[in-house]
Amino acid sequence: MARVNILGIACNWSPWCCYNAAGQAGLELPSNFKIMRVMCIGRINQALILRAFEHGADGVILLECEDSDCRYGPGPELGHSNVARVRRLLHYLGIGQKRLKEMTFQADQKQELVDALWEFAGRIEKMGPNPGKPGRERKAS
Amino acid sequence: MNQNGSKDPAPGVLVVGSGYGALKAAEDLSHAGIPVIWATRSSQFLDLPEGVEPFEDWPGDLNFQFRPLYLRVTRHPLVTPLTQTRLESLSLEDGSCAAHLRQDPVYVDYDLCTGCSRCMELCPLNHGEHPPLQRSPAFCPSRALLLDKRPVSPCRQACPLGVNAQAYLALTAAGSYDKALAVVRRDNPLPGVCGYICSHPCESACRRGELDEPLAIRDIKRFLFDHEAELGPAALPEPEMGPRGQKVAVVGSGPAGLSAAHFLNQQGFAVTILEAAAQAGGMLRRGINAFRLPRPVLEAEVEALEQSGVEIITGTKVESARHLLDQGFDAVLLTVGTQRDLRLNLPGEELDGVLHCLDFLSAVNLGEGGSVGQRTVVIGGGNSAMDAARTAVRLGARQVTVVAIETEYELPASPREVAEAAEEGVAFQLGYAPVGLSGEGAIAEVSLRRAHWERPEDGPPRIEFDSEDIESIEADTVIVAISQSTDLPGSPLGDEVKLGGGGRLAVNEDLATSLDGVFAAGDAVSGPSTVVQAMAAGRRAAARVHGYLTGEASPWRELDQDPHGVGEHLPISEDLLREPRQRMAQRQPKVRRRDFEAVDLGLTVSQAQAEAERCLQCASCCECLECEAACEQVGAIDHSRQGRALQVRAPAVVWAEAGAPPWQGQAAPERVFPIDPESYSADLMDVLMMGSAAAGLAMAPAAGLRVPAVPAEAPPRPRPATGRIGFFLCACNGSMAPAPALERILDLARPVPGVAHVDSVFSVCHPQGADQIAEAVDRHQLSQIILASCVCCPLNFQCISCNDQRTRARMHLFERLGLDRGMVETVNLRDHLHAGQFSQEQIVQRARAMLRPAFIRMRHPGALRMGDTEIKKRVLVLGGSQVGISAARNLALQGLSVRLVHRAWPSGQELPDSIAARPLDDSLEDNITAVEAAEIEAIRGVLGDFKVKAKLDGRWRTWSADVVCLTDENLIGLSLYAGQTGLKKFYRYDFSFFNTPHSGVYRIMPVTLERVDPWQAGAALAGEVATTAAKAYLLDHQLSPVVDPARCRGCGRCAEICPFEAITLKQNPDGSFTSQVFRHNCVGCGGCVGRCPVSALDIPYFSNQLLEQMVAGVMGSEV
Repeated sequence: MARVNILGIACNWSPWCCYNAAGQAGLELPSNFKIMRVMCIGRINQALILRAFEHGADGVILLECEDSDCRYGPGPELGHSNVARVRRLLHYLGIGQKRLKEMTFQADQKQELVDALWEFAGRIEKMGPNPGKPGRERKAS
Repeated sequence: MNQNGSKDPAPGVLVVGSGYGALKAAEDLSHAGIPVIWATRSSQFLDLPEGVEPFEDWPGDLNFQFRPLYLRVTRHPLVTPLTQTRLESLSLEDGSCAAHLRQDPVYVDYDLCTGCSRCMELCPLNHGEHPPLQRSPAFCPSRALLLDKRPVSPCRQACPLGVNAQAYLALTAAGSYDKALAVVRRDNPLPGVCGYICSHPCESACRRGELDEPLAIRDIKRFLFDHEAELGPAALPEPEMGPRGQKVAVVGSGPAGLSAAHFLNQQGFAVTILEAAAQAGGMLRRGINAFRLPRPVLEAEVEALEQSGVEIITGTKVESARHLLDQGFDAVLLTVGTQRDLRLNLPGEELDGVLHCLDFLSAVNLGEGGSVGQRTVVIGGGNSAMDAARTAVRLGARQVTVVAIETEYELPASPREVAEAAEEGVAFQLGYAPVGLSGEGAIAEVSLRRAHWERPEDGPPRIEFDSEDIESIEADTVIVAISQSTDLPGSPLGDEVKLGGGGRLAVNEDLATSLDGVFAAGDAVSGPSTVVQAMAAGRRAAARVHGYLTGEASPWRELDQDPHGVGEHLPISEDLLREPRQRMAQRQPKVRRRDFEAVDLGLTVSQAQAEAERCLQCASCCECLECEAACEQVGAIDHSRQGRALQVRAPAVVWAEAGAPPWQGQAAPERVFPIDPESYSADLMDVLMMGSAAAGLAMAPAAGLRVPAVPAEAPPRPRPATGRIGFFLCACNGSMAPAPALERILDLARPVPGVAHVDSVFSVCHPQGADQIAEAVDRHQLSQIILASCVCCPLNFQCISCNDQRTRARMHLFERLGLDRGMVETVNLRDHLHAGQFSQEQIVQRARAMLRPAFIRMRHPGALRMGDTEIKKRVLVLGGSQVGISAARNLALQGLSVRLVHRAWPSGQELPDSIAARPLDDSLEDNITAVEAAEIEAIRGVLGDFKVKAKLDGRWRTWSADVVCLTDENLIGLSLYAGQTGLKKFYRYDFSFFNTPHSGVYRIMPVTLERVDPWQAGAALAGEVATTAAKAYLLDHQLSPVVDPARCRGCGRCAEICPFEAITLKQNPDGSFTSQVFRHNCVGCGGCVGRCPVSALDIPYFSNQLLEQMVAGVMGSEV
């Protein structure tokens, strides 16, 4: 089976803090997990999430602060609405809405972050490659 | 800010104590431009004051949330952070406070430690229960290591040479036998001799004896020596100094002479030992039996000394020290020992068969023969007597009896010697003194009387007889072993130098004899002592000779002059099990008494290991100095650092500890502003408010110290537009990854198009590492650099992931060296490479994946926003509540210009009766402009440029202000929206509880006023306001967005979403709207950019295009 790719888009605050703490503690993450950092999850729009699938992500997970923790205020709420809408689109596109997930963390939840990533990686592994992947499209046509 | 500098800090407000309140106070003061000296007893600044427990509903991640604030304060240029520091006294002098502070030694330099943790890996004790090196707590961003160094262990203190037994036990337990032996040799050039026969005062002092039995320290030393001997010849360290060209003669090659010769040789003197006997060793050879000290051990050590450069000339008896000086020696050291047996001075001592101990032993030990009769009596109770008795056994005596005045428990011989002698068949007749020796030509009988030692307080001990009865024992041989004296009286050498009591050499306090340039040490000065005492005397004399020849201070530190370490010895844990000490295997008495072979066989490897593990490691840090080796290039660790005393002049003191400040003389409570630890009993907001209140009150007396504006970041150096990329990889002092893996990571970067320079840096957070990067940028004309280290971002702010090393790297690169932040992309490899867990190939592949986005960014560079806006210092206080009055007066005392409106109400609302009925305060300071009543229509504008439309006396007017404070509850609606209170939302404002989302508008919360004194609240508000009002410039947020007016259609979604009022809609002449960004109000979250439906807003440094390319690239396979 082809290797699947997982992209995490992380808010710079609590999730990034967990990610760094997990690294410092030597906790292992799935090797097919790639991370990209933004200052706040509100920074990204729906198009960017869709782009990830377009460019070959088999699963995308948004790592956010809890609503009440957001340093800036509206970030997680924006993340929720973006995710809800993109999931619908993924469903219509036949890619599958379960390939997009959002999770919230507090700054001291490194273990929770690691566990969530392994669980998500396992789920995407089971689902197999994203049918909208560039390579697959070409093969199909 | 160097914690170990010796200079006293410049005057500032002294903050004493730690915890959130103290942090807030230090923040307000420093950010208001007032220097702060922050001293805490703790090793970090978030430790709660004594006796304070965290609140029950403390969020688990709270301390993480404090990281940015902690870093901003402890690394602020106006703050002098002092950890492990106590305020010793406070007094009032010339109207300000004079404080005496004492800082414990800071062994790990907070400004240099890279947190690489290699020292922890090398520390032999760091896997045990009390690791001496520890990281500061996870939430504490310094990550600098703390070294727990208690007072020197009792074993080391008890050793006359100060040999670091704790360290060599620790290293032995860790299996590092060669390093352990090297530790012994630092202070003792004869580890073999001492491993076999030292009188081990260390063991008598060992604290493990309180629990079960003292450590077998000597036996472990012997094990180390034997272990080395199995592998090859013994070797002493290379001399520390090159040849000095000065010659020293050492007369005598006993323990004192050998020791002195070694230490002088280490210091670069040409040392010649002159020995009268045919072989070197002195009393070690003459007086000590081979079954206790096997000759190969002694010979190996003498050989090692010769190998290290000491010349030994044997068979040469020195008759004149002056002659040696004439021959060209620059100094002479006499270590001639005690060579003459004392005599009983009893009738019959001249009979045949009456021998004297040293004569007897040396004849046997030097192979000149020696025999004893069937019945041998040894007179004396010391170790020499035991040696004589055991030698007599080995020479074939049937019956050997030791006669001594002492009882069994008083015997000066070591109990082990006594026991072993008894096992070998030696009988003891104790409590008797000999009174006569008789026989016909040869000895036949020794007469004894019961006696004991009488030790009067004012005089020498004397023998007291207990009985008139005379008993006698038959003897064919008598060996008199009652101590020795020098053979100097009457000798040529004795005639040349002055002698003291008992024929010993007379020396002054510099160990100099009556002849200039001639020194003396050892038993010849002190009378008979132990090997280790004689060696210590030798080293002391070496120090005096060194001083005489060079005029320099002693290069060897004597422990009694160098007290160090802090606190008390590690306690003996109640969980520790009792465990007897390991014992060396021994040959059976009936076998060993037949020959002169060694009695003990030495500890096995597993025994030595088990024994060393019994050590309690009293001082925690054992000073093996392994960690210093790991830190050599960084230079953060220095075990020899001393504590220091500091004097500080402070116009005010913020007291954040329990109890009262230590006033000397007249107390001046009006200078001290406490943060009561009681405030921790409510909740975090109260604590922080108390901190701000203390700061606000302290600002008035400290107003004279205020610096006009906190130094703004230097403008970046111009950078060339060469398109040349530099790639730098931080080795993190060798802990990033093994060197070959680092080299392969560098190889990944080399072929990338545009990369012009590739290098590794030993530590980016170290000043020299940053210098190296700045030099390379200049030399190779780099326009962009990628920095792979632990640093996550090059921005000028701290987030909750930030730590001190990351902050320091940026301080060096951008603030000190002036590199442009925008030219640097950073990748945090350090936390995620997990070098220890993976193969080299895996490490390289992980690095490759993490570096890919950085190279993508190189292709889409975007500038950081670096502008600033000038602001003035006009404060408008709306609401003459007690809080408002207090704030206005405190601000006025700080010298700011204040307009105070006593009664204010928003348009469309009535003035509440309670406010209308409130009397006016007419005792306000001159620089407060008071207004009685005004209706406020709205607050418009931004920090530094507020326009407040107000109606007073029936006429509308517009006030300009830089900062606005809302200090009556009826006004809070002018700035605050629903749902923006509560602890979590509070993080957003960096724990500034008076901040509103609207930067520059402050308000008091009704909930705050329910709990605290309004005067305090007003002072706190003043403190917070001052942090803004003191600034001369407001910096743009580096991630603030730009608006493309051609795309913006004025929908207002961006302004709607921004809680910081950083975006307004500006009306164009054609009636349409365009977004406008206030860059200093912006917090850089990018929410507006994400929300904009037409991509009219973008953040240049974090552009939409870049994000897209990254999304595409991180899953790709190129670079």
